[in-house]
Amino acid sequence: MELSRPLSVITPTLDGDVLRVLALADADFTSGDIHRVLDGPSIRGIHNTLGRLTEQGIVSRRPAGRANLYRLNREHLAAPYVIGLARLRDELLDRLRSEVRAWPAPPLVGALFGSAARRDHSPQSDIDILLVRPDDASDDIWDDLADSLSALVTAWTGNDCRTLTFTQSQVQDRGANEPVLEDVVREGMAFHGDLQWLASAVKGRSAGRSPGRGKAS
Amino acid sequence: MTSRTRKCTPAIVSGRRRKAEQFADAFATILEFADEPGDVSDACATLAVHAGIAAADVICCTTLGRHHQGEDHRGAIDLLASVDTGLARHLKTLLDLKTLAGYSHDPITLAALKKAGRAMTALVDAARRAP
Repeated sequence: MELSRPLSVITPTLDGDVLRVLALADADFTSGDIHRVLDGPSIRGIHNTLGRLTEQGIVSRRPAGRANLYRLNREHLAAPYVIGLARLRDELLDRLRSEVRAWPAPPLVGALFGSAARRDHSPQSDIDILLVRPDDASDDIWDDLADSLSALVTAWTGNDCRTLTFTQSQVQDRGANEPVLEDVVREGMAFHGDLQWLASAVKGRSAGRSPGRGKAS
Repeated sequence: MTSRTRKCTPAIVSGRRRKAEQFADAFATILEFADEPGDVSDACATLAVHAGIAAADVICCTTLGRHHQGEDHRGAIDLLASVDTGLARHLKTLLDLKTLAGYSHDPITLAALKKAGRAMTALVDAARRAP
């Protein structure tokens, strides 16, 4: 699936993109507002799509001066399903959170990164997951858990999934020299744990420093 | 809709996103190196407010195509509520602290600072997840 265009699982057309915008806010939109959010399709294409969707009743239209305002009709039979599809990335994060919380040794941090966290994800993209393993977690059990998580994500999305594991000590000792951890801090989406802890380690603030002293120990 | 809004551009989105992360990072850094949280509570609360406002702008821009403009707190909260009422409550928490932290002589309590930190984190995380 394409996490940045989740309705493309059922339609490759602009209808899916427009429905996603309308589903994610209980608000009125002009066609110009939708054009700004989507940042790509033509305003004529958006206007035609809105006309089609209004005919179907899933979108309601009302005049406002010289413009029309469009809104998802949340009373429509199809509305809950459209909203659910629009929120598929949140659903993925929720499932990842539930899954790792049940582990015998949950990660200190779990985060999506790479294209799945950015807005350039395609159906061919991998889903990259960072896991920070507690130092006292068993290697064998951890490897099995990470592999099984990866298989679950592939089943849920159709995308290959790669997990990248750092131990707690590795993050604290060399986090400042790991470009991939900088990427996670900059654009990752945490589903478990605190990205601020990771950010501190990557920026070399906590490694070798005692909190509250204000200088390296 | 009663709030004054401004149309968003890609430059506005990236600029507000960068500021949200910068303010949030500064909040965490100052707290980490302070001898006592109480020594920096007002400064950190003010940073949390600015991080939250910038994050709210990102969320509104990427979801609605427009963001709130001006000092009308109610308008800003109502606009964000059309996206997510939980996030709007977090923004309200921060905006309620803005005057106290930045302009009054009374210090922010540690409880209020923790609440501000949680609200800020929720908004900044949501801005990252925004489409």
